[in-house]
Amino acid sequence: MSYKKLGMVFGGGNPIVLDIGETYTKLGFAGEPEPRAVIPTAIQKVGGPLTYILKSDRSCISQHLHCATLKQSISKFLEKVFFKILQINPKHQRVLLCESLLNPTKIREVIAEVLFHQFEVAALVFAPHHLLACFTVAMGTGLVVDCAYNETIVLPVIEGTPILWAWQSAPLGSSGIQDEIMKEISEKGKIQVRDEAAKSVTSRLSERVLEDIKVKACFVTQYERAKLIHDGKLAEWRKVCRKRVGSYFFIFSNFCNHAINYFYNTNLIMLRLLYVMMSARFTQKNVGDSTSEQEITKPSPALSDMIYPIDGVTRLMIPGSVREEAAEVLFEQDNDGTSISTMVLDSLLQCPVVSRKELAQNLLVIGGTSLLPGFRHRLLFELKEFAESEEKYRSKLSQCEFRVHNPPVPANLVSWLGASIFASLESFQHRLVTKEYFNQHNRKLPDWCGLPFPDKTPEASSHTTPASFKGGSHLGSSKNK
Amino acid sequence: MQIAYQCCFAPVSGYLCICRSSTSWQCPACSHTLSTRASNSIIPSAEDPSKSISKKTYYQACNFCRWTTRGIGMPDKDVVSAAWSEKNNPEQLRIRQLMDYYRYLAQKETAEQAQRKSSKKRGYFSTAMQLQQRYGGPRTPQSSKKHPAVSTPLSSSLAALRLKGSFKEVTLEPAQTCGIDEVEKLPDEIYTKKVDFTQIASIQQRLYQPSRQIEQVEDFWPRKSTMFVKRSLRCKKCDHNIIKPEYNSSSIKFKIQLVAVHHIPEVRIHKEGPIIAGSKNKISLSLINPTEHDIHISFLPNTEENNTKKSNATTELPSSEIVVLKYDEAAEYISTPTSGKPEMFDDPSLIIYRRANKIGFYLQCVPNADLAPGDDVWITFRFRHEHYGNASVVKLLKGDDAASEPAPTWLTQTVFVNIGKVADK
Ligand SMILES: [Zn+2]
Ligand SMILES: [Zn+2]
Repeated sequence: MSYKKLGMVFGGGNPIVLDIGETYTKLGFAGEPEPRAVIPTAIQKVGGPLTYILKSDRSCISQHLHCATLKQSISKFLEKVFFKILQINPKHQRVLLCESLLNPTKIREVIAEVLFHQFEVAALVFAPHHLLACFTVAMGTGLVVDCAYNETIVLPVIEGTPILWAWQSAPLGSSGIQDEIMKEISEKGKIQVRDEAAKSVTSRLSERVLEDIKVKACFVTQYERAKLIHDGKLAEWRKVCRKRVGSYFFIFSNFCNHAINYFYNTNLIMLRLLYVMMSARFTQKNVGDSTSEQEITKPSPALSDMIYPIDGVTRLMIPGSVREEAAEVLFEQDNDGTSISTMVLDSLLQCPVVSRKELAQNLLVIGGTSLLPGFRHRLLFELKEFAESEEKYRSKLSQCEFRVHNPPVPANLVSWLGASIFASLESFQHRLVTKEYFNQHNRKLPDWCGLPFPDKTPEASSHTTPASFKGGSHLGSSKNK
Repeated sequence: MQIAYQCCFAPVSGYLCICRSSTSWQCPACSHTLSTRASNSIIPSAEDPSKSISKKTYYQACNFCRWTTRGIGMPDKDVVSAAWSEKNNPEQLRIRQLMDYYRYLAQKETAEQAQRKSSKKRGYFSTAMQLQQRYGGPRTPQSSKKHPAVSTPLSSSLAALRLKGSFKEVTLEPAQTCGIDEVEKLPDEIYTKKVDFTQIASIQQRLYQPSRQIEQVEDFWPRKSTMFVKRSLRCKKCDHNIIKPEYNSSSIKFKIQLVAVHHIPEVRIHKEGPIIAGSKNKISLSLINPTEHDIHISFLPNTEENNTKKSNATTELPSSEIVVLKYDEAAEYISTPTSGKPEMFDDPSLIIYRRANKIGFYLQCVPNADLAPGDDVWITFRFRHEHYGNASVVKLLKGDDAASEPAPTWLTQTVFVNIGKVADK
C-alpha cells in the first residue's frame, strides 16, 4: 500500500503540530513559522484552580498512576486545543507530537488512545524534541541541551543520528528554581497584608506566583559572582556544622560530668584529671576556630530587595539575593558534581573523538528554562573554564571551542518549529502510525528509537526521512525476510 | 427538502476557523480588544503659522487596562480606518528558507533514489544512515548495500516526474553560531536596577505573542485580533454547500442557527382567563417543539427561586409526561391536524389540543391570598426535555456508519410566567 496515496486520503489539511510540555503546550499547524498559541498544559473548571495535567510534582492530579483520570484530563485538554483554540475538527487529520526523551510510555499511549479513539485522527507521530530542534538550525551534527521544567537532557546528534549512549539527564530545571525561590522567601522574606505588621511566610506560595517571580526577576548570574555565592554558602554551612559539633560536645561533657562526679566519690582522681584536660583542650580549639573564621565575601553590588504585589492588599517582601541565587541550582554542582555544564562536558567525553570538536561548536540550547537572562553566557563560560582547568576534562576537551546556535525562534519554541518543518515534508508521511496499526498492535506505539514501521516501504522511508529516527535502521532486517 | 433543511446544522467544530483581522486589534497587556479613540490636537495651520487649527487624530486604547498606543510611542493616525501595522518577525525569512531547503532536500533524495543511477552518490539523509549503522543501529551492518532501494511504482514515477520537471536547487546559508564573546551578556545594570514587577511582562503576556515574547512592558506592541470565520462545508451525502465561507462572524444567518429558539421548546400562554387570588385557577399554556425530534416533557417544581424573580402563586403541575411531536415543515401546508402519525390518545383534563408540533395543556395554580386586584401573578416551574443537538448532523455528515439513533442529552429549563393580573372581585 502506498503511503503517499494514503496521505491524500488523510485530508488535505496541514498536519497539526503539538508540543505538549509539562507546563506549556505549543500548538499550531505544520509549515507555519510560529505556533498559533502557547497555553498552560492545564485544565480548569469554571472558577476553579488551574490543574496541570502532566506535571509530576505537587500540582498534578494524576501522578501518572490513575490512568482513567489521566485519560480524562488529557481528553479534556485536547478538546480545548482542537475545538477552542485551533478551531479544527481533528477527525481524519494527521498529528505530530513532540515529546521528551523521558516521556513515560504510559503518557504517550494514553495520548495516542485519546487521539485515535475519541478524536478519530487518521495518523500520528511522536518525535523527540532533540532531533526536531536540529531542523531549525539546519545542523546535522550538534549537541542539543534541552532545559525544561523538570529536567535537563543533553543529547549529541551526529549526522542526524542521536548518540544515545552519550545522553545525560539530571533533574535541573525551572521547578528546582521555583523551589529555591520558595526556600529563600520562607527563610528571609516577609508578607504584609495592608498596614499590619509584616509576618514571615509560612505556607507555600502558589506556583503561579513563584513562576511570575522567576520570570520577572531571576537571572543566571556571572561566574565570578556565582563563585562568591557558593563560597559564602559553603562557609555558612560549615558554621552550622561546627555549631552542631559544639553542642554535641556540650551534651557529651555533661554526661561525663555526671559520671565523673560518681567516680570522684570513689576517689578516682586520675580519671577526673583526664577529663579536665580533655575538656580544656576542646574548649580551646572551639574558641580558636570561631575567631579564625574567614569573612564571608558577598558579591557586590548587592541586589536590592523587592516588593511583589500578590493582590491589591497583600505584598511580599523578597530578598534581592533570590534573583541570582535561585537559578544557581542549575549550575552549582551537586554531590555527584552534576550541573548543566558538566552534563555537556560528560556527554562530549562519551562521543567519538573525531566528532567532539564539531559537537562543541554546535551547541543548541532549547527549552523554556534556558530563556533566563544570562543562561547561555554562563554555560559557555563554564564550559570553557572547566575544559581548561578541570583535570577530568582538560586532557580530552581543552582543544574544543564552544559555540551556541541562534535558532530563529525563542528557545521555548525551537522544538515546535522543528516539528513544523518536519511535518511539512513529504517524508513525514512515512513515519505516521495509523489507527489500524495502533489497534492491531494492542494499542502500543512503536518506539521512535528502535522499532520499524513494518508496513511502510522500507527503503524509501529510511532514505528520505532525515534519519533522525533510529527506526530506519531496523528496516533492513525486516526486508531480509 | 428534509435534507436540505438538516444540512443547515453542522458540528460546531466544522464551522469556524481562525482568521487574523486587519481592522481589530488586541491589547498586548490583557488581550482585550482595543478601541479606537479620537482626540483633538491644536496644531499650527499650514497656510498661516500664526493661526492654529484643531485636528482630529486617532489612537487605540484598551478600555480594560488603560494601555494605549500612545504610551509606547506609536504615532497617531489621521484617519479612523488607517492601517495599523503589526511588527513583523525578522526571522520569518530565515524560517521560510529553512522550510524550502528541507523540502528541496527531501525531494532530491526521493528523486535520486528513484533514478538509482549512482549508488555512490549518497545524499544528506543517507549519510546519516551509514553512521547510524556504525554507531547506533541494531546489528544489521550490510543489509542496505545488499538490498538496494525498492520503491513503490507510484513513488518512483512521481520522483521521475519531478526530475523531468527539474526542481530548482535550493541552497541555505549555514546557521550562525556565537562564541562566548558574541553571546548576549547580562547587562551591567541588572545588578543595580530595582525590580519593578509592574513594568516587566508576565509569562502570559509574553506567550501571547509567541515569536516575539516581549519582556518589558514598554516594548509592548498590539497584536491583530483573531476572530472566527466560517469555512465552506459540504454535505457528505448530497454535496450541497451547507455553509458558505464568510468573513463576517456577526452575520445574521449565522447567528440564527445557534439561537435557542431552534433548540428549546417554547412556552406560551394559550388563553387568558380571570384569576382569583387565594383560590384554584385553571391556566392554559401551550408548548411548541422547534426541533426535528419528538420530545418528551416532564414537569418539575422550581424549588430554588433566585432573588430577582419570585412567584406569588403555588402551582400544581401535570404529573404525567407530555409528548410533543417534531417540527415538520410539510405539516405547515397540510390542514389535517396530524401528519400521518397515529392519533395520540390524550387525557382531555390535561391536554387542550394537539396540532403538529404544538400542544396546549392545563395547569392549576393558586395565587397567594394576600394579592390585591390588579397585581401581577407570577408562576414558576421547570421542565425537562431531550435535546439532540448536533448529533443529528454528525449522523448526517458521517453517513451510514452512524445508523443508530443519536443519544439525546437531557436539558432542564426554568420558566417564569406572568399569567396575568388578579381580577376585580
Ligand atoms: Zn488591556
Ligand atoms: Zn445534504
